[in-house]
Amino acid sequence: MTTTQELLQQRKDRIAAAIALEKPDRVPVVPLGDAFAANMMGVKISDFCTKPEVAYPTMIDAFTQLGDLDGIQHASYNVSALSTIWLSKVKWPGRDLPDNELWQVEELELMTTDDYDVIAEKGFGEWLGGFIPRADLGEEFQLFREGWVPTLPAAMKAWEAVGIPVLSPVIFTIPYEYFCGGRSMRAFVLDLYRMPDKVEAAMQATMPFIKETARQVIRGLGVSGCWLGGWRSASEFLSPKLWERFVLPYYKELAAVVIEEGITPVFHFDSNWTRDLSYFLDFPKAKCVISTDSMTDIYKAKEVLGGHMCVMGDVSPSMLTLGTPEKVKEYSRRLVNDLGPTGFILAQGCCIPPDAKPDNVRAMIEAVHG
Amino acid sequence: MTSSNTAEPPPTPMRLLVFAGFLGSGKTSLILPLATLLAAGGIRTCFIVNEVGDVGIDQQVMRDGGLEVYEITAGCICCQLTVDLVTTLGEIETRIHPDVVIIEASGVATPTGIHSALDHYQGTPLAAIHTVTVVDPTRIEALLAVMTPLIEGQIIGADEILITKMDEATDDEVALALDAVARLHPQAPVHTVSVHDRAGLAPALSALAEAVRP
Ligand SMILES: Nc1nc2c(ncn2[C@@H]2O[C@H](COP(=O)(O)OP(=O)(O)OP(=O)(O)O)[C@@H](O)[C@H]2O)c(=O)[nH]1
Ligand SMILES: [Mg+2]
Repeated sequence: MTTTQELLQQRKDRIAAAIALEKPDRVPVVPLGDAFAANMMGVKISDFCTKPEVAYPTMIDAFTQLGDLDGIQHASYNVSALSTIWLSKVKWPGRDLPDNELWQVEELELMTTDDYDVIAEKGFGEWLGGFIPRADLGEEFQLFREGWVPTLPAAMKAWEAVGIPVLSPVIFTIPYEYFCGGRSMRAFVLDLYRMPDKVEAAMQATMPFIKETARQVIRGLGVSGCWLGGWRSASEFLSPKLWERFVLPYYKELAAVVIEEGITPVFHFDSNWTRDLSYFLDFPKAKCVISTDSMTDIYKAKEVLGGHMCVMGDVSPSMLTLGTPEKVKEYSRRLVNDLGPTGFILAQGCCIPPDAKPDNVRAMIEAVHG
Repeated sequence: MTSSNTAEPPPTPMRLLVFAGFLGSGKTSLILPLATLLAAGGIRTCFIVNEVGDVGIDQQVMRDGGLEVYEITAGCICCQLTVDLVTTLGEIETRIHPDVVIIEASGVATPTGIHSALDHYQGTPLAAIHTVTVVDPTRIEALLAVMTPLIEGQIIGADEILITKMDEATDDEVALALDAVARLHPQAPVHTVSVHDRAGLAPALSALAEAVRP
């Protein structure tokens, strides 16, 4: 009889082997679903996304009913996190929307072009102190910093108590994502054209804050991995030259810090990054994970990066919602066979969508067991 | 739902008109008069809008004009949009079964992306998917330089191109937009229009209505 502790250790070892590009006993499966868990357990989205004491027990309840998983990507969920990475107002269910509707990011120009100058001059931290009240994000940042982050250690413990390790419980990202959100994408792309140097100066002045925050969080919470998220900075949108200037160097700097702190960066990349995969050969070998959402060609990712970093993905959100368990199982098995046995972790692409069928998620999890 | 259950003729498949174009390029502004034109011609039309932009949509006004509007929002998750689009389309088919569905794509979607999303659609096969890309000449230079693959993809994947905001654009800007289209997609029919002073609007909208005529 394996104890929960032994099971936890086996799973940690399996994931660690995949990341180190060694051969695990089998391909691990490490999913993530947030509003999906709430829907599956019949928990109000408004409670789930604002109350940490509801969020992680709901996720644990849901995922422990879905099969034998090797890990979970996030320990908990809180809607306030979105405002902190995209400097955006988010409509909350229960506050701005009906209780069971999904949260929505609002495309508003909360930042002005003058803010770039202030950031470059004073640094991001000081600027942010003034921005939060001006953008009316006080409630969001307070919930995030005081209400949610302090509950993460308990959430991670609760997962481990049921034998499930947490791969990447915190999220960091690059200045591009902050500014694109704060300025609104529509305005930000024009800034990149009209005042690239100003934007770049602000980005550079933002990095010390991001790196310092990352170090503090990593040390304070004792996490073993993190997401380095990329959404609007995807290759599929941006010119190659600008991507090389405004995106790549910042991921490099951030990944270096995270690796220096001894934890695993998981590049959580939404949309299509296929064009720029080879740039990730410059990142430290066998230390990172690249997690794609089904828009990036995961076979290409394996071909280009397979000898260099662990690839994770990519059962598409559409398949998990609209497909059948047979389809999901077939696709997942194909990934396991083609992309395993070394350097591959099976997961959904992006996040399991709110209305995914639990049987489809079960089929994905089963697929690693044969 | 119809009351009879005997030997109903199969419903005519729905026709789709997809509007692509970067954020703020003028999609909603063009869809509104087009929808009015279709409704006036007795063509039952639904409108799926992806995100609410500058030009708000008064749902009641539209409903009174015979147009049903569906909003889809995907929170922060772009990957959820496929699911929402396909589910909404299925709901429209069963509840209303209009002749035409106009889809306003998200400003960061390409026609290819929309087509792949529609591949997941499991309802009665669609009769036609006609894609129109709206090009905003006042920002084309910047957008092509910054969002190169996206903007090029939007132009390349279109069946028809509308260069809009002609009232505001300078001659140079319009020339640049026309050059870009000629370089990227020389076969595409191109219309130049202004919604504000209505120059060129009537023939362009008629061409679109023609493309989805049952
Ligand atoms: N001068 C001028 N402005 C226009 C014209 N058409 C639209 N606009 C303006 O362009 C802005 C964007 O128009 P929308 O129709 O909302 O554009 P959209 O593509 O639907 O925008 P999103 O849904 O936000 O992506 C608005 O401020 C419109 O008033 C036009 O023909 N001339
Ligand atoms: Mg619009």
